[in-house]
Amino acid sequence: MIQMLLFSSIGVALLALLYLFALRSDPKPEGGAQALVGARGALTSLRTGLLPLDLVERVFAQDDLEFVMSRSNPRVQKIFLRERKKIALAWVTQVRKQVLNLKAFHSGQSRLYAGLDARTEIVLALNFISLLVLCRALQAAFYLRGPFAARPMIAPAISVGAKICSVSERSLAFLTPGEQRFPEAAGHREA
Amino acid sequence: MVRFRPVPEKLTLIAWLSGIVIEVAILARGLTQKMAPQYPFFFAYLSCVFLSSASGLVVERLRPGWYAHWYWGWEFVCVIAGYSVVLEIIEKGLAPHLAGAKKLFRNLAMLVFSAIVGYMVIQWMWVRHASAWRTSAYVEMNLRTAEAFLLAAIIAAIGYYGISVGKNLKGIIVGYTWCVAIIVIVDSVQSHLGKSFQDLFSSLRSTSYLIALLIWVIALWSYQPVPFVAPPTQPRKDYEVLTATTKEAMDSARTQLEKAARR
Repeated sequence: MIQMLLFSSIGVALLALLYLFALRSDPKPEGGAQALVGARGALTSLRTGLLPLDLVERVFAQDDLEFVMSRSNPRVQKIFLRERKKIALAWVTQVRKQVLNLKAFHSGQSRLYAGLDARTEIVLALNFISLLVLCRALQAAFYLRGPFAARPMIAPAISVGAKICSVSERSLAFLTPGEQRFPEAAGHREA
Repeated sequence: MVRFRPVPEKLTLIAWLSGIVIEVAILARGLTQKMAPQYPFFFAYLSCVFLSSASGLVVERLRPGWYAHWYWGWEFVCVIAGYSVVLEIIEKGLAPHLAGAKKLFRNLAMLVFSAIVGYMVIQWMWVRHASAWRTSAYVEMNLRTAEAFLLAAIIAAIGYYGISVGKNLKGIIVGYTWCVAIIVIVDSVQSHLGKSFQDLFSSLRSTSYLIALLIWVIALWSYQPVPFVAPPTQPRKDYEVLTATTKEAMDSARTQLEKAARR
């Protein structure tokens, strides 16, 4: 029974992947003007930062919540929470879009290099997946419980995601024996 | 015991003949449109399947008693030829973008193939009562599963890097992957349920193969070259800068998300 379920799920997963592949339109060959403009735009947005950090601070400011909850009437409180929820959802949607842009930029550029490193690429792909899952989890949490009440739902998801990433990274070490290629980047993430 | 009602013989014959006609059409287009030299393994595989279907039809009509041996012999040849299609997909789909990944996939595919076929050859030589159909079925089940994993990895790599494969190769990938996925599902369910539903499973396999033939005849009707891509020439050092930039940006995004979540 377990064997049947395992093999059937492999087949079903392959069909799902095939469905996505069949729907995908053939991308334009790289080197075109549009691809170059897109890549440059993505790179600029990466260099200038995804979004201003003070905006993030403001959207989720606990002081604002405490102030409104202590001073205003229930109607105003309701409007405040609704507006903050909208802003938080818009913010996380934009971060997700930027991560997708970053992924498109990296995959579009990296394939032009002769010395593509399998381990680095797999680790980056896993990181992209974990970030996108995190964005979706945040979206769901903000939608269901609002920006201020989402913390207990998200914190475990983040730690699980980080753990998966570090385990995957370690398990892929066999692909590049010898020194670690980006010790400072890896160290930053571990921290 | 629950039994599936067998498909009427006439319907089976019509499906069989339709398959042969479509195979001939694809092979003819492959030769006239000069696609066969571009995808030699795929057209070799299709020729094997065509010879198997056409000769099988004759044997089944004239010498029904021989058919089982005939079928399993050809099935073995077709499965081996099918595996070479996966190698061709690796070769044409990932080159010249991902030379490293191409080498990794190709070596992995060859290793898995040698292990499965080598193991079965040794077993066949040493075990006296190993039947040809059982050996063939075992090789097919294992090779199809290996193909499923390889095709999933190739499709994921093509999608992830946004590689342009062209109409012809896309058709080959879609049709072949469709067949492999259905065979893996059908075989796993069949091995669990036993022979009660053999006719149903046999019909499912034939129908899925006919669908794949239709995909191929549409995709391979005319030759469409894969868009030209200059081989990668950027130095390794630049690639390291690129990955470091990507990592830095990802860390920045992760920090922001974590800050939002921990508030």
